[in-house]
Amino acid sequence: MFWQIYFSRIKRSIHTKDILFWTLLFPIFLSTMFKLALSSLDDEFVFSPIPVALVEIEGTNGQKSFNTVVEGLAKEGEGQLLNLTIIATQQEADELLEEEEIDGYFLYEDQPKLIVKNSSFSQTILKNFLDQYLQIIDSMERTADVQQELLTEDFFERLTDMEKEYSMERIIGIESPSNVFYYYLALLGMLCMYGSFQGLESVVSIQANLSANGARLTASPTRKWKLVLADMLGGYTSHIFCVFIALFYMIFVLGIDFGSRFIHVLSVCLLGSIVGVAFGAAISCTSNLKYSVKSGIMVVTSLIFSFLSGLMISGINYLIAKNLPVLAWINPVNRIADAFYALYYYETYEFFWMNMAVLASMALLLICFTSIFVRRKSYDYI
Amino acid sequence: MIIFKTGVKIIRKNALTLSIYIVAFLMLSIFIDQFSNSSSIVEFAEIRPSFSLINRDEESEVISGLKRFLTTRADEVVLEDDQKILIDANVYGTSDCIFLIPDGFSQSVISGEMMMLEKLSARGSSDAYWMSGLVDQYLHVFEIYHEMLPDVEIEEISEMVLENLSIDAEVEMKNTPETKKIAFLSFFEKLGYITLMLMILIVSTVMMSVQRPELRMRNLSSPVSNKNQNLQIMLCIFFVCLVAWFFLIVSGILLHREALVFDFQFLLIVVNSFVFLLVSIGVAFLVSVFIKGSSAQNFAANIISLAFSFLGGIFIPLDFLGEQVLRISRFLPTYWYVTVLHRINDAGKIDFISFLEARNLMDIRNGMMMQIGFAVTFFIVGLAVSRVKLQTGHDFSTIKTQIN
Repeated sequence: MFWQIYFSRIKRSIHTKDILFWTLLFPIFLSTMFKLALSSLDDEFVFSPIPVALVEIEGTNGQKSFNTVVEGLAKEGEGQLLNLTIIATQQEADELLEEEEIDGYFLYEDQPKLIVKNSSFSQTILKNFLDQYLQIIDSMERTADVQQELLTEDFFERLTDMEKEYSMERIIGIESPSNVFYYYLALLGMLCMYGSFQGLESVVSIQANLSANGARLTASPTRKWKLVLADMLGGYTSHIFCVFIALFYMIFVLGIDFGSRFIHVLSVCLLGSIVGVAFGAAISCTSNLKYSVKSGIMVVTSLIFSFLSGLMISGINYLIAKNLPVLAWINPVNRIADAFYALYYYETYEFFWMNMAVLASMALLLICFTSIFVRRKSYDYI
Repeated sequence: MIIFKTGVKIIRKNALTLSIYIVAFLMLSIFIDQFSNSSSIVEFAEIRPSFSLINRDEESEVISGLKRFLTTRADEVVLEDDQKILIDANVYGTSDCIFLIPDGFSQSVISGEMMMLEKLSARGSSDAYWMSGLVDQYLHVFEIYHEMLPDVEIEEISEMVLENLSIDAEVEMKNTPETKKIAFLSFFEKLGYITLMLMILIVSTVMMSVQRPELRMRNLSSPVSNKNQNLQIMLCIFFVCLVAWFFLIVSGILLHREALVFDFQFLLIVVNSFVFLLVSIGVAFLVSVFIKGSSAQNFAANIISLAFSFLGGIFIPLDFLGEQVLRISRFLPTYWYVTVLHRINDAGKIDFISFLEARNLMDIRNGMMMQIGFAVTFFIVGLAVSRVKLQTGHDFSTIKTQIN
């Protein structure tokens, strides 16, 4: 009887389109969207020359030197900083700036000056270039005051040579940080929580007041706990199968790297799915709302949990962990994502096991809660 | 107007499911607001990334000088020298760049063989790139000064370097009317997602009911003309969608009433949102021609709204999307909605005349026209598909009547 219910439950899951969609197709679709939309975020930062204008008015030697330096930075090649347009009048420059064809323009009055319309990365770089130009002039004047003989060609070249780097990249932990990786972790967490649909299905199918199947099962001589266990186990099996398919899709098709601790990753999926199934069962056994309404509640709750775990806005989970730690700790999607996170970045397993312990406690609590509500129900009428 | 009233009744019966989505969206909006801020830009301000210095060497004038310089250009985030804390700060961007100063660094500077600092940063971060540049700038000038003036004390060199690097170029912000980063910009961005999802759910709920074969057969034999019936259905859909949209707009206004200024800029944002409502109704109408059941309804609402939102710049800023993805995005109405929204925000103070005539506001006008074009296209295609299905008798093919 047990195995009959178990296998028929698996067959039922395969034929239920709703469940198949949310637990298999939707995560595959969403992870594909992530890959498409976020693929360039982890790319090496590539600097593009900044469009800028130089108002060339006949002037002093100082201006000629400045113009030479600016034109040097606009020379095509590897070190090109600027995309330069030389303008005769300030009015033309203002028009180009207004139409946003340039990010700013240089104007030489007593000293070079930068005129911009916005404050952003490009304008900051332009200002920094101008700062460095003035600082180099100042350095040379100071050196001339102190020791005239130091003012050599070599000194000037050394001052203006900005190629040397004084820091090198280092990775602490196992992997280097990624801007996009946490999206996939939150997605896996959400996927595990979608086991709630299986939990919902199980509770509806065994409760006499919610389905004809439930009425028939309630009247059967088989013990209630066997019915519940077999049904939920069947639902859990179907769900974990979908989770693994989605996980393998992310790893082998999309090329997402979840680190080398693969067995631990699978264990998180297994435990997370138990929490998801138990959550769905716990929610659905406490009310007599329509199936579609309960289903809507599952979807929205999972989306809220996932949102708070950083699925849609990167870093929000960190802000919540800092400012509202209780909320972070009771969010099962956050716990699942953090367990994956700990496996990927941390060398030790301390944080990983902490998250697993919290998930195990949640699962136990929800299963106990469900069993209290489901057991020994009798009906005056159905 | 029986069909109109029936449509409204159908929506009222399903109001609970629809309101769950609306309430969830509004709750998330309130939440997002707690973590976002608005700023007013009236004069030039350099970007200020964040940095951390983890000093594993002894305190020295070199290191304190470096810190003093960096704090003039960036914001320091103090972190403990703990691996977990550093990893978290790095991953979540609490600190754009963390510099680890190795033991013996100060001595290496004095001896003239400067050791390399170690830096932790996220891949592809422009802020980390900038921070790295600032550190290079300081150490580069320090190294040269120390080399050229070996007899000068380190403290004095540090002061000279700081004095040199404090030289600031003059920057003028040109002709900028007050440019506000609108506090509720984020709300209106996400509104695009919920509008699309809600409209698909609303339109498909009504259409699924009225497209039931037995109902259509009955209505076709009624004295009310087919044209009249369709008009009533369209009016019902439009009315309900308008009410839902209006509710969302009013909620947004109430949530952000403190930051709100009821000027032409705000009106343009609302108009842009209304235009996107029309697009959403068009998409919903096209999609609902194919929807036969509630599971398909859920699939369609979630898949389409999420796909459009991710690829259209609602969840991920357009600046972060790759060039190939942007090529696809331009075929989505959400791209134009978000682009127009940002353009209105960047335009600052505008009035009706400048909106109609200014060349630099052509993007806004064109973006809205594109959205209207999308709306009309989706609607026409939906009508065409619906007509083809009717003519082929596809809709009635599965009917089992008592006669059979």
